[in-house]
Amino acid sequence: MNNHKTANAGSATTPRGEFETKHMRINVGPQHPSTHGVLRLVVDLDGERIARIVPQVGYLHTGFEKTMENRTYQQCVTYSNRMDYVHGFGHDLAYVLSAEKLIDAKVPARAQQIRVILTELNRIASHLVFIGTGILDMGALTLLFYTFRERETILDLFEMVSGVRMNYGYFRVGGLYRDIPEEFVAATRKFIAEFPRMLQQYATMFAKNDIFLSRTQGVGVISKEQALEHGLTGPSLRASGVPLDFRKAQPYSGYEQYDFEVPASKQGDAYARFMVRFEEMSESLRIIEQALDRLEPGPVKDPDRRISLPPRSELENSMEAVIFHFKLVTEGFHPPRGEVYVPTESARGELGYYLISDGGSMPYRVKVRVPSLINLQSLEPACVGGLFADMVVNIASLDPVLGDVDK
Amino acid sequence: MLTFVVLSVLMIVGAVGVITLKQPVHAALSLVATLLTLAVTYVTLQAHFLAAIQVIVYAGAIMVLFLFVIMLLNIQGDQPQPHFRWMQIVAYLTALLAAGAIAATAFLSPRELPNAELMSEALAGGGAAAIGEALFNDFVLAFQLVGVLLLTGIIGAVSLVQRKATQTAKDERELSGV
Amino acid sequence: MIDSLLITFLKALLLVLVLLGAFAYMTLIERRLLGRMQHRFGPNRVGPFGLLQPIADAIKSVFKEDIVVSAADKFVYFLAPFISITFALSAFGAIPAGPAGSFFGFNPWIVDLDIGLLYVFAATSMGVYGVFLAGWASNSKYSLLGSLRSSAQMISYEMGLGLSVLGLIMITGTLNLREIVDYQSGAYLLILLQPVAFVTFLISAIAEVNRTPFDLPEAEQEIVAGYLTEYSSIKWALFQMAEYVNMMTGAAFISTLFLGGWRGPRFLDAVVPGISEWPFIWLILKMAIFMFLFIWLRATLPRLRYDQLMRFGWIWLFELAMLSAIVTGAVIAFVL
Repeated sequence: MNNHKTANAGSATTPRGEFETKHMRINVGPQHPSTHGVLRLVVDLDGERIARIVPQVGYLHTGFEKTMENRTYQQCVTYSNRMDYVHGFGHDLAYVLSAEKLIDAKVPARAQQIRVILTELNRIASHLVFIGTGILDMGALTLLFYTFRERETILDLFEMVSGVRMNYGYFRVGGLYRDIPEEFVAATRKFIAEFPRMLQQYATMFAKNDIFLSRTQGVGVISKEQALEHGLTGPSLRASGVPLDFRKAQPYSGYEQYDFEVPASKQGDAYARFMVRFEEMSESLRIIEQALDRLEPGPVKDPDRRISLPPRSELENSMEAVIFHFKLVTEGFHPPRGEVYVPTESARGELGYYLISDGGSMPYRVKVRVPSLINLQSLEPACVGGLFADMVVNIASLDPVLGDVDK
Repeated sequence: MLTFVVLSVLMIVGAVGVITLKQPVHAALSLVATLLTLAVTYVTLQAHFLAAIQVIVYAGAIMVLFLFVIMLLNIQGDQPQPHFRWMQIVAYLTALLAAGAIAATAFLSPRELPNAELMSEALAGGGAAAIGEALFNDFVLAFQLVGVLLLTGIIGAVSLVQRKATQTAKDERELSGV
Repeated sequence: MIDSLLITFLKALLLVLVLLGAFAYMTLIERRLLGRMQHRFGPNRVGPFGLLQPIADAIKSVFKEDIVVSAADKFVYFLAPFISITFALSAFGAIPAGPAGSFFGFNPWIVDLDIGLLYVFAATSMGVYGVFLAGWASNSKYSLLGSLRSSAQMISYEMGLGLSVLGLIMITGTLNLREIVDYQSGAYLLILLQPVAFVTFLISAIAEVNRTPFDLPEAEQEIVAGYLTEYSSIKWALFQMAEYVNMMTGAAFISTLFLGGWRGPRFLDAVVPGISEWPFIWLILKMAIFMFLFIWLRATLPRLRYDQLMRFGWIWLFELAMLSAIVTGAVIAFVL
């Protein structure tokens, strides 16, 4: 870390003996294989060292927030998971939690447990992508295919419950779209039984590899202070020695009932960021296992007719049900005036939907606190003074998803 | 003989290219071509060892370093104007004189070729053994001296760079207020 | 027996064709093997087992649009790939593949040079120009960075190669590759006499042919495709060709220097008399081992960072190779 600081000072102050060195400005991206999407970085190089790095975001801006302001609360679930397409359930959960708080919905225990199971599974899937692509950025090709094999199993599970492998739209304000199929529990248990062995395999492939260690240890150090100053959250923050995890700090969806650890490290380097995420996968497994044990038959929707659609059977003999159905489908529900924000722990960091309701059936304002965008600020302390080749490791280790950055 | 003429012409063209081409990289490449042709000439004289060393050391290492410097400094093709007109004239004259001297030596000196048999005997095996024996027996002192000279050069270069580094360190110390 | 000029020329032509064919199928073998190692199939659509894939690739790369960067130095830009492939192809010529006269009555090598070892070094050391000039002529920052890196790497690791064979030359007392092979059949395989040099030579060779974990020139995550960034179509294919031919030359060179070259193990003569003297097969077999190793490493290891690679080379590898040479020299001078 000290090395980085002195190098930093050296590049910031130009006098270098008799020679004046000129910085070379390199434009990385938006079409670049290792920026994990359409991220553009303007990098000033002093030799091979980075003197200045400025991320240019917005190439994937889709205007989801504005679109959501023109959709009913229930329809918004279609948009939330499209932002972070790697950890979609995390976004869905963050959105429905905020909307539920706004309308004060009572989510049944079963629905909450299923949400936790799916979100944690998705967290594992997301970290698998992270590790696979992160190692790929260092030139090792094979691990990516292995991690995607396991991710495939998880996506199969998602397909089982929601019918799709991406853009799930399975959570609803007040519960879930429908109950999970019967075979889901057995399939998930099978996955949980097999996955630790796979993790072991991955660990032998990278965690003890000398080249991996020399590429990541002491690289891209973000100190505790820098991390806090730059608003870093999530596993990257925990790698810098701040064990902040909203699942523990402000539990939601019943996370307080589960027994799990929050892996943290003090190093703050790329290696720590890799390992914290790696260990988080085992912790997620523990949570899933406990949630599966607690799973008991029951409703998966808030029985409140103002929020959830009435069951199909009632529509045939109850006029009242038909009216509720009609109102909910055509107009949606009207939460009281007010504003909410519920922070959640996505795979990437603090994720929350700030919603303002003016009493109408659509949110007056939607603002998403996306972790990727804000974590990207920490690229500067991680990269400046370091080598250009380390930049890709740093980007990978901060794990930005560009959909999540640009919204 | 024909091969020799062709190679000499190529070599002269290459050498002229070195000084006439405007783009430094092209000039350097021309020099590489000259060196390679020279190596081929060695091969035609059965001096395989010398040819290989020529390619490895001059073309493969030294010229690459030349190109490195040219590329790193990003020297452009524009030529600096000479300061004085008479310098140019003197330069041309000197060049002419040198060329004349070389031509005179080549054509006027007694052209007794060394005994072909002796030569092929000495160069048997591409000349590696012959050169080795000459270097490490007859000319061992000169060889060692050249080694020392090169070492001095390396040390000098390193120390020049070193001075700059300590200067930077001092600057940094001053700036950081220590 | 010395072959006539015409025969030498024909043999050289044949070698070029064989190397190019081998290159085409090496790409297929590499992709299939990587597929196996990475839990996927690899190309298996074109022809049985994907055997026609290289032909499809060749047709594709010939007919693709050949883009020339407008800011490029046209002449050098065109020259660079040809430099690469020419020197890559010529390096193989000195490597013997069997006993004299075993190739339809002709010698299974192109030239029998007394300085064969140096010839291979000379040819490979010229290969750096292709890489270097490609990067410069493309007039692109990524290409320039890539070519600077790779040429620095290639020059540095050439030192490793050279130092590693010093001890070997001292033991055998010759630079002739054929004689080095003969020496090994008379005494021990040189891998047994020079284990340290073998390791340093192998590592340097991997770096020299730019393979994982030293494949910095193509570190696509950092510098896109390095010196290849601005190349397309057949010129790009020529660079790929040069890379694979260099790999094969490297494999053949290591086999020749350390593993007894074209000779097979003696004990097999008891089973099939004379099998250890059969031309070609043993060299190809030994090359295959190293080619497999190259692919295996590529599937396993991440890439070293540029400065780490340089430090590794200059601090560990060369020191070790030098030490091995000094110890060998001391043993020869004082013990034997």
